[in-house]
Amino acid sequence: MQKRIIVSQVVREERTRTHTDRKAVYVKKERRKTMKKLLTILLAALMLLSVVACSRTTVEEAAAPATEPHEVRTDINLVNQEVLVSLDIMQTNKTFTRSVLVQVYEGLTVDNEDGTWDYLLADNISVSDDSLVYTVKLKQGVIFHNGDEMKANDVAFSLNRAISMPFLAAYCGSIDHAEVVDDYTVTIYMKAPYAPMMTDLSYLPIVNEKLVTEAGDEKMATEIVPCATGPYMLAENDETHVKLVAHDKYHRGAPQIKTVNFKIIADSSTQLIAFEAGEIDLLNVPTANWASVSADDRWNTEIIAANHYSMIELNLYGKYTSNILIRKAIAHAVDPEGVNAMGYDGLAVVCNRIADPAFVFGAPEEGTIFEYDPEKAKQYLADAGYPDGLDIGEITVAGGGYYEKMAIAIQGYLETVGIHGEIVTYDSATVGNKARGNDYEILVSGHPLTSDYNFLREKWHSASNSATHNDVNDPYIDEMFDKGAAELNPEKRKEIYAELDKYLSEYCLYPTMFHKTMCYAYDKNLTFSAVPSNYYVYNLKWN
Amino acid sequence: MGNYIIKRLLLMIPTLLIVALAIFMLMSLTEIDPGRLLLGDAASQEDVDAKNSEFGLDKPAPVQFFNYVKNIVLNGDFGNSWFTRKTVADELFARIPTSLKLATLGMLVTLVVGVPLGILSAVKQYSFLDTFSRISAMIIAALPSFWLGLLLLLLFALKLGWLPTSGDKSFLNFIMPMIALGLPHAASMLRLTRSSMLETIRADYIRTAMAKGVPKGKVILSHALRNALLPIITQTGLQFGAMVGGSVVTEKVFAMPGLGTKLVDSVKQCDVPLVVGTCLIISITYSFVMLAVDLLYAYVDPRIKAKYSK
Repeated sequence: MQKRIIVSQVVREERTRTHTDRKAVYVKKERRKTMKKLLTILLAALMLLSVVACSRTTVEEAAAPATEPHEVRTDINLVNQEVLVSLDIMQTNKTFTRSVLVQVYEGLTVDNEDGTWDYLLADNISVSDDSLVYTVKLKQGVIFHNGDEMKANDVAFSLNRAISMPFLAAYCGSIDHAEVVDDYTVTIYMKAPYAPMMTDLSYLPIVNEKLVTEAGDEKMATEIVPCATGPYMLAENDETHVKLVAHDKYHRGAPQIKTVNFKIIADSSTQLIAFEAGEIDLLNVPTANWASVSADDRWNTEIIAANHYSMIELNLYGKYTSNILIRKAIAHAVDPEGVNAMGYDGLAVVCNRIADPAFVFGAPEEGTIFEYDPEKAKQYLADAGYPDGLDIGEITVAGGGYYEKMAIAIQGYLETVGIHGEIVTYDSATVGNKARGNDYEILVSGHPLTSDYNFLREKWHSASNSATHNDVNDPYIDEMFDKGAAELNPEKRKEIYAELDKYLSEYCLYPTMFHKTMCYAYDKNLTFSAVPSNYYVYNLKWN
Repeated sequence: MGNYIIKRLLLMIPTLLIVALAIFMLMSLTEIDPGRLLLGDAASQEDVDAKNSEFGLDKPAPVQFFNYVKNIVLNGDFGNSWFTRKTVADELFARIPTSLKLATLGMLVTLVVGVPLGILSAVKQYSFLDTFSRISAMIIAALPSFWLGLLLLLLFALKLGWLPTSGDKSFLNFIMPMIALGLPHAASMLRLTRSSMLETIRADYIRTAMAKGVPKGKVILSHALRNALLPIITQTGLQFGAMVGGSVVTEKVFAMPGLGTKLVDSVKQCDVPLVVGTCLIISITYSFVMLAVDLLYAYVDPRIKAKYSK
């Protein structure tokens, strides 16, 4: 009897437990279902948020179209990628600082970025027969931002200051000193004849002697000193923006746009959103977004080749690349079109030579071109003693920018002809060190151009200090660059550079891929004409 | 307690010295040539050498370090940035307010979202709310900051046009950054609060309080939460410290001039005085925050206060 009771208790307990277990399992299942539902709802909400956020229609669409009557604006909002490193253009060579300061400072001439130049603060410049003395007649009535008139002493002081500034060494190397003749005449004495002088004068800003002397270099770099002559004056500068205001006594006439706000935005996606939200009026659009932006009729767009070339640098002293046959194999193995497609979304202007006659005076129209020919590349490789290919080691590149994408394409092309290389990225300062120390085989990089063939001197001349200088130490090259710089007859210069270009090509040290482009999008009411590098706000107009 | 604070403040001195020394050593290991970087490729080697000499780089690293510390101790001078020529103090003081504001507001989001939801999740364990909070926390914690930031920009700046994309002038500028910065931290705060509360509400003294008829809300807030606060306070301190100097991505996306961005930029330029100065400021902030955390411990838990008094 007792046994039966115990059994029935056990059975009851078992039943209860089973019931509890079942209930627990049921609750668990329900919970799991709820979880699944919740997860689905949350993910759906997140996706919806993403879709809504990323959809193209914006509140700005309600904004008045360009054709409607509107008040002409007198301000403009632009963007700059970095905080200004210095407020003195003579004390910096940072691109993003200069792009703001060129609105403030001016030189005696202006570089038109097509191989020509015009007078700006100079009225006339005459050159002595031996090309060693330049007599500069100044434009009269040029007023500094503080209200003083520009005189010869300011110009002589500015040029002598520029000579002492290592930042401007690229433009002042041939100038010995400048002297005042009278209030509106200055004489510049040269160390040696130098043909690109007129273009280079555009990079030497003229400042007010009194103000700059009083301020000193440190104050000039860190505080606003109204010492320049440009169409805009620095008004505010902090970590988030730079404000320029119009110089109403500007010698070419007061600017139409009275206030210029440069917002400091480093991230290109944020820049684009700010542009699309109407916070910025003109933007150099990231290439990845160009297709969608240029297809949008809410803005005007314009694309222009920049004064800049992107290339493969081959080390003359590399373990493998010291062999000309391997250098030629590399040059023929890579298709610049493919590198453009991969590295610059196909928007760059493919070119096979560094100096493009469209931008650079003296750049020959014709010359040796290493066309894409994988079979030829393989042949060169076999001739060099590597019929089965070779492992070239490191493909050096600065990380973060489009060079890295170029390197991936280049690596792929090299692989197809049997040259194996591993991409290694560094920060740009380390890449500069490696280049200067000839510590690389293949380096993927780029460089801005100036508008005279003489700029190649820094890469080839034995006296160059450039980071990317290949120590060729070829007396013929030195002689030709010196000859080209000293020759003032334009036609004769072109002949010298044509001959030199042919000679340089034979070294096959810098297979060039493309000129990058500037992809501008801007407000429909803005008149803007794209230029290869810095644009001048003075030339912009609101309609 | 006073002695304890003084002891902690004194301990900061060797800590900061070690930080400065470590940064100096690390920076001296880089192969970057600041003079060349500053003057550009066209400058002559003589000019570059002169510039490096002006920076004191011609002296051995220990001498450079000694001079640096001596200048701080004797003149309160952290030096000048090699690139902008501004004093390090000016460079940093221009950015500290933004960083502190951003970190404080970000922390506010973290606490306002993370702690109440964590408490509710624990109290209503396995409820709909608990499940919802945990799943949300999981998803939010998995979102990369820059992506969340861009999404917010697209929605609130571009789509709705309610908020500005960048800047630090008004509170409106901080709304999106504080969400982008605080929300991922809120997720971890939620999980921590939940687990800490769960541990506490199962304790005997909570059951006793409940049995004595103390209102549930009071038991949770006065007894359970107070005892669960210690890990939350620690986490808050650590997260705040990390937000002050480590919110580089948020700063970049919203173009906020904070310490994190400055540090990254100055490391890239090998601007040693600025790198060391920024690291010291971040270390000082950390030290003070951790001191505040310890003092809060004492406030929250009288047993710890008694220990300090000894």
